[in-house]
Amino acid sequence: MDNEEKYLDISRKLKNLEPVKASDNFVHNLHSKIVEIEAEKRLEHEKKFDGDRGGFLKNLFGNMQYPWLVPAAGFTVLIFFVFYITFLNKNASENNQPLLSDQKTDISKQSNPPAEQNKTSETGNDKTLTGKENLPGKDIAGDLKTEKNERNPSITEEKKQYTDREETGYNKMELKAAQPEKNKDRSDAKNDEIKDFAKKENEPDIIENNGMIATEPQTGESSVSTESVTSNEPEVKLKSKGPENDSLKKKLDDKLRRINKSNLEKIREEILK
Amino acid sequence: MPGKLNPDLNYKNLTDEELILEFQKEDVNAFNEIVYRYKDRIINFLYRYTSSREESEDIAQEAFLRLYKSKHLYREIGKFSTWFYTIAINLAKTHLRHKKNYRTISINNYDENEEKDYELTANVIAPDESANASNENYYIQKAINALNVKFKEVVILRDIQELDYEEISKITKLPLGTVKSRINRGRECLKEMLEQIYKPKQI
Repeated sequence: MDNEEKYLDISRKLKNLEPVKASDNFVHNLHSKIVEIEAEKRLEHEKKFDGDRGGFLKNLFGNMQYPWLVPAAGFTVLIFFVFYITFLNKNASENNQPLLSDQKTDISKQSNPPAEQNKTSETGNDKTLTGKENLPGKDIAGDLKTEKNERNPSITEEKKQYTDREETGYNKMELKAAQPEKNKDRSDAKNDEIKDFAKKENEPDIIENNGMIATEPQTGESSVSTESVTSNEPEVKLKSKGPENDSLKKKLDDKLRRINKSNLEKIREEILK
Repeated sequence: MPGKLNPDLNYKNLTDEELILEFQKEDVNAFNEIVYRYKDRIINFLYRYTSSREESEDIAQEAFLRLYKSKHLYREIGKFSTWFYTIAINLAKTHLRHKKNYRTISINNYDENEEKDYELTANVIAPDESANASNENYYIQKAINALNVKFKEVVILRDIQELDYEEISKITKLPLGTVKSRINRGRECLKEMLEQIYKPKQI
């Protein structure tokens, strides 16, 4: 209190000083500055927003409100990726395995001795036919081919030659595949083959009795054009019309015999060579 | 000015603290009321501190802009006036520091052949100047300007702004005893200076 009284005069003088007031445009200037600041803020926000638009991750995770989601999401994506790859590989390996096994069985069948092949000739022919049956549009194509062949006998002959070449080639392959087992007695195997073909020649009665072309021994395994046509055509017809069409059956049998005979003759020649 | 408006509120009946809390809720009218209440007080304080009207208005506007930008920094713990005076005084100190630095640079670049484009502030009022003086306010302001900064701010806050010691202590972040002693020392200096001014007149 002593100090206050001591300096009472000077403090009174200071209090009595004329107060300085703000100018008239002070508030206006202040408001204009605030508006400028707001505009700058908006521009910054817009820039930020535009920047956010472009980013894939920012679009994915919003305006990075949950940054902890980024590693978690990345990890899950990685897991899915790894799982997908492993699953695909597994599927692929599973798909490949049966194919390989089929190939192995084919090779084993090819390498079987001719005696066994004769025993399984019917089933083997079934397989070849089923393989042909799997070809898309084979019925229509077969029909067309047979019609054309009937109209142009020269073409059929050429095709026959071609198919014979193929067949002989295939037989060669068969023989080569069966070579390790046939090394002991090649000549016997050849004779057996010839005998088998001869037997097949005498077997068309089985076809007639069963009414199934799958048991036809005449249709070569690799023959594509004429033989496949001859084998498929009557199947359709027989299935559709049944045992009533005896004449058609006879015609077909004759055709098959001719083909078989020609094939057999050529095979014999090749074997003898 | 963007922001929300609350037409139900009578802003004149609200305290400073209530106003700033309303402004924190983006109520611009609360900010306008704060500006209305504090603009003259702050400008008066800053004018006595800087002795320049333009500078005081610029600093006051800067202080209000700081308040606008940093409204969320205010906490209910203290008085609003204390917080706002702290902002203003810090800005004023920064401004004076920049000004001083600028002058120092000018002196260093001084060339004797050229004419002076600056005036050094006198620490003591010259007797010739006081003889020609007639306005008391003018001399008091001159005396305040001549005061050391650490005395000046506390004297202005106490005798011109009429704040209590505790508030001054919070604004200046000084102990209460230091504030009181500084105020007394500042008053003593002022008294001495004013006596020097008025003595020749009385003679």
